[in-house]
Amino acid sequence: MISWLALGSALWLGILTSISPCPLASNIAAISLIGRRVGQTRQVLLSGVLYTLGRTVAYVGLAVLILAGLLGSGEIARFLLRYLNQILGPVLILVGMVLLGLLGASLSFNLAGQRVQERASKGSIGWAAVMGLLFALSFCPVSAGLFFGALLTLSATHQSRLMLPALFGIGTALPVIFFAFLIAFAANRVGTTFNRLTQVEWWVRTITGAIFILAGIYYCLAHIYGISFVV
Amino acid sequence: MTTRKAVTHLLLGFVLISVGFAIGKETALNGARKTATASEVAAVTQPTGSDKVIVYYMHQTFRCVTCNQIEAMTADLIRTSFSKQLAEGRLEWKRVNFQENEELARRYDVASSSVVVVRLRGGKEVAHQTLDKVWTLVGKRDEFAAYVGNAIRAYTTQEAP
Repeated sequence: MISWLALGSALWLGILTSISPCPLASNIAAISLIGRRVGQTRQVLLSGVLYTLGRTVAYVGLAVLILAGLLGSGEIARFLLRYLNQILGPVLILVGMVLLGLLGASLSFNLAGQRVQERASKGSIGWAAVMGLLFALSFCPVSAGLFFGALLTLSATHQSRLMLPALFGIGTALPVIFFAFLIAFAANRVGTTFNRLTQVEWWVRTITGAIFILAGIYYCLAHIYGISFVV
Repeated sequence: MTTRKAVTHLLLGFVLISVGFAIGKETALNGARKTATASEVAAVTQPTGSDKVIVYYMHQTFRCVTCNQIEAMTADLIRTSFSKQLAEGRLEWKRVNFQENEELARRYDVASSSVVVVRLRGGKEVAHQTLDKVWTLVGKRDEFAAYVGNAIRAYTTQEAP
């Protein structure tokens, strides 16, 4: 039986990871991704859940592999720290381009072209889960310190490979989905009040794509080109 | 439509250049890492003073606000509480990029930026401790000082027989 204190600690470590400044760029991208379907409450809720699921799967998977002794925590951490952040930059730019309809539309020239473009610009909510997984694995120094240092120690002492890492994952997603819901419902309210929901939706979608591209450029500059943004 | 095309090409070009740059950088780093680790290993196993404690701040290439805070708090603690040992050469304070120093990272199993305390006796490493808890204590100045300070003190007060 895991104590309430341990459960609370795991959740709190997750929240602490999420509200620290270093994953800010990916968090803003996630907020806009989840909140972009301003007109569809269920879709927003569902992408929030899927995003949380993606993050949780990543942390539980890592915890299981490490605590079962299949992978050394230092080794896997250094591998992820070295490569994932570099991969994330280009991926974010490409996803942003798909969200804006700059990519994907040209893949098809037949009659389905219109639909492909429409689908691409709206995007399936499955993206939220994939992005959750990818963001969770792209450790920044703070999340690496709190996950590999604090959370894994907690999991090992309580022999909890599933519950505590899962709560950590939920904790890292909570602040993000809170702001996503807030923005989605506020935008929805503005849209319906002024009878401009379609326009508001278009703007939110465009801004989401732009945020992904900007976050991607930031990740490229910081992690590939090694430009320091911390003074 | 033409601006859309221009933006698309510009972004795709940036992505391609970035991917190429990353691959090139990793290939070059792999070559450099082999020579760098060899010299660092020599430095660790053959120090100038035979009995001493080394405090490492291990950091990533990518720095962050919290990481800099941990580094500053540790440096501060050493300056205020261990200045005598530092002046006498019984304590050494080093900052190392663990992503560029694979050998040290593997030796101390560094998974993230952290403080590592190493005890050397007769020029040989006899004990080390990786201080993982610095991440949860970063907001609490006193607890942080007690945690890191006690770890350093435990090694510096162990006199040679």
